[in-house]
Amino acid sequence: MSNIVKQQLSAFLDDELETIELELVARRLASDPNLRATALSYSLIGDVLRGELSCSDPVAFGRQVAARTGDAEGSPSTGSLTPSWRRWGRSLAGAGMAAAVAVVAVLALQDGEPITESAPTLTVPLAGQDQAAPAYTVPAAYSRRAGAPDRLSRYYLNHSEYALLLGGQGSLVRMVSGPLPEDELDDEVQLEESAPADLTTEP
Amino acid sequence: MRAIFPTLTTCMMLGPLCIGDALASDPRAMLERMELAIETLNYEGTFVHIMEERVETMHVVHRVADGKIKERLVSLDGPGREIIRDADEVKCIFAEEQSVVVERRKGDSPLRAAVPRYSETLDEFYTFARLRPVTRLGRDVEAFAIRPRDSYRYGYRLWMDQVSGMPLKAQLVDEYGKVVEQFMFVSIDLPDDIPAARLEPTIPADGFTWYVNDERERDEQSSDKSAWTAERLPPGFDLRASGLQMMAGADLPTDHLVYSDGIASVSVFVEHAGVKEEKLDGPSRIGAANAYTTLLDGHQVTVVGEVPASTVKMIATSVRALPPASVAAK
Repeated sequence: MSNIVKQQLSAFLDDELETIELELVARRLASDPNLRATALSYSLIGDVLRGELSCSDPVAFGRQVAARTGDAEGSPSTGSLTPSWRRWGRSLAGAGMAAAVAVVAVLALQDGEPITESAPTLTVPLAGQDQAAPAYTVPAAYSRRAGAPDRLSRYYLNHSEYALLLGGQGSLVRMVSGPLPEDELDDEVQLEESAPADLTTEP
Repeated sequence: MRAIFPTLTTCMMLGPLCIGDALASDPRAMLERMELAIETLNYEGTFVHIMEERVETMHVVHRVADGKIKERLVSLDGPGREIIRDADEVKCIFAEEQSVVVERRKGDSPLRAAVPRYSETLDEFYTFARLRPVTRLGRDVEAFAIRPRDSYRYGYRLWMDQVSGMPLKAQLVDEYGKVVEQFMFVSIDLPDDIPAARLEPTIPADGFTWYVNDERERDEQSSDKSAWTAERLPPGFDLRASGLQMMAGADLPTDHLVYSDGIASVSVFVEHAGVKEEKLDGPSRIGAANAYTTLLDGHQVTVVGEVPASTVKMIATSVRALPPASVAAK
């Protein structure tokens, strides 16, 4: 990746691009997995620097970083992250480096209080904590089935009417997004996810 | 529409921002304002939708004329899909499948009317926090976070145009703090008027197969009474809507129950399992929305919502049939 592209990506993340350039970068992000990976690591570091990935508990923070960088070994559960995430993690040329930078940044900035909120530290019960890790499947309608909408698509469309916030607009966006590219479907068919063993909200 | 991405260099220079307690209540007002703006303003823009490793560019046109809302949403680099939404129906045009699905709306969205934009009860389940104000697309932007107090629901980070109240960027955040989905406008225009022609579909649907609910059949088979209930719900979730309805492309009516905590919502669908369609089983997902399906007494129970996978599973496995007497008494 050239320095010019890196500078452009940095400007994109910093909201410093003109509209036309923004659209160009957006399109390039859509087609360039390496650029997306770089954007992820920049984004992660930026979140930490802003204090939005803050955590006074280093163990819990490590879990957050691991989850966000696709580091299965560091994840709080025994289940693995999605294959596509792992693949992306490899192409990242070191999500671990991003995590390491994030840790350094958070340690350096730990005295700062990024935001105000009334939430106390809270250990919460976990829904379905005793349940086995599920395996995900991509609904048929989103994997090339033509014709009438299948059940899940019907359900989803009807649910969108009742979804608020990101749901209200987001659910229709997901309908428009369509299926994953053919070469990514295999990875998506058997995703594993397990519940966290314990979760503590940010202080 | 909303999305990601911090301001790296600014953050490096300034570090985290400390905002006083006096402003702590502002995010609640911003939430109300944003919800209002996204429905009532005229806007047209391009945004990116980022989910895991996927990035898609989309275009939205939202028009309000004579109090009526109409919206067109199209993928600019996707597989040829377009959605036209108004108060009466949602029309989904799938170019690749050569089909059009028309789902009729139920008039004024009952949930939008029923759910408070903000109430103090939300404080039991979420915390609201201001984030650093930024500049996006040449606009001054307020940012705030909604964080769940437990692991039953997702969190949000939202960036709102100070002048118009429009959300310009948003993130959906999971229980690990990982951003699972993001929206970000890369251009937006907020004109006083939008020509009706801008709402016309760009995908020609001539010769496509149309799937539309039959109004008469729908009226005959629909009911506001559901014979089912979910016995286990996350704290703060309660029933907001329920009924029996015909859906476009379905052969039999489906029970639909909607539970919400005021921000997150979950739909429970129950229909006979013995129809010719392929059966769902276990967890599924569309984008950041999770679903879980289980079989119960010859019925297929599916729970869908923008909540963690463990939450939809917990609800789905707790669904039970109501005794006939309690259904009649509803």
